[in-house]
Amino acid sequence: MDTTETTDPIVPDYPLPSLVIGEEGKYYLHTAGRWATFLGIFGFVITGLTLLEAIFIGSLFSLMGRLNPAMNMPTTPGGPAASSIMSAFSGVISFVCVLAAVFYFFLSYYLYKFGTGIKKSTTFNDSVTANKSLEYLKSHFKLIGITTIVIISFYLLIFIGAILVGVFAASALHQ
Amino acid sequence: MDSTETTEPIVPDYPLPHLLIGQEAKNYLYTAGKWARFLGILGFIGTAIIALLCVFAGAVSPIMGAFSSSSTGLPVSAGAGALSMVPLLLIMILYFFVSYFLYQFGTNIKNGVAVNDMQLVTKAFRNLKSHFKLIGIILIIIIVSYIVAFIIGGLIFGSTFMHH
Repeated sequence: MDTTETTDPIVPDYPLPSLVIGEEGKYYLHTAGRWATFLGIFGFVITGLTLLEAIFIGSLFSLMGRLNPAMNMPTTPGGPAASSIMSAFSGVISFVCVLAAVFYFFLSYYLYKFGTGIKKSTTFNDSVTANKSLEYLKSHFKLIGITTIVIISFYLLIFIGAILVGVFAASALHQ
Repeated sequence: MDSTETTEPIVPDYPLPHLLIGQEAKNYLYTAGKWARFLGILGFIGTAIIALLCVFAGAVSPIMGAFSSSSTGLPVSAGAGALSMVPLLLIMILYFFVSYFLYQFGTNIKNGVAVNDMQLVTKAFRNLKSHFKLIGIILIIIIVSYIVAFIIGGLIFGSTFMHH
């Protein structure tokens, strides 16, 4: 065998540094991508609806307060009216809605980008697009996971805080 | 450049018959698999919680029926209790399978990417496809039932104005 001056052929080293995905795997990936784009678009719609809710929940509550005279009666004698409590809550609800909308938007965006990219890359055997799409898939699952952990810890904190407050109040009463 | 007698290098044909996943993408797949497995396990825990709720609702409703003072209270409440378990059971089954597919995708992709095993990776992608497909079908059914209920409700509402 003579020594040659050839441009490097794309010879895989052994063991293969890259993963080869056959026809069956490509079909599964492609189908997953189709459903992922559908879920992504649906998620965008839900995000829009959530934002609408964030905007209108305040006026909705005040409208209910004006239309329904029963809501204007004080909950406790001399205390705030039920409708004003609800308008105070509407601010909190709006804020939570906006947070949820942002979270859901990024979730759907990552899923949509994964879906479209993986459909293209499995059709054309394009590794670069597959690379980017898989990055979006990773971000999608990571976002869900991190948010879930945050929410669970939030609930745990509130739970523990409530217990502590209860213990503190009970001990204060006994003194 | 001299002609050479080299053994055929494993040069991919263009266009490539297979999709090649590089090192960076393998890392992304591995991380996605880690989180997917974690979410799958969380889903299993959620399924168990719903199952507990199911058992609780099923056990409590006959007792609540016994406390009812109306003459037809006991059989009606017990039946309603069993009936309320059906949607809960359905939700539990769907939630279980969604988490199951996600968990299988996570574990198989982690193992497959680590050893470059195409079979494991294909199995993982099959589970990923089933996961997204199941969620999609559930959503479509929910949307369709909402639309149907909306239409039926509108028809009923409209028919109340038809009687003279």
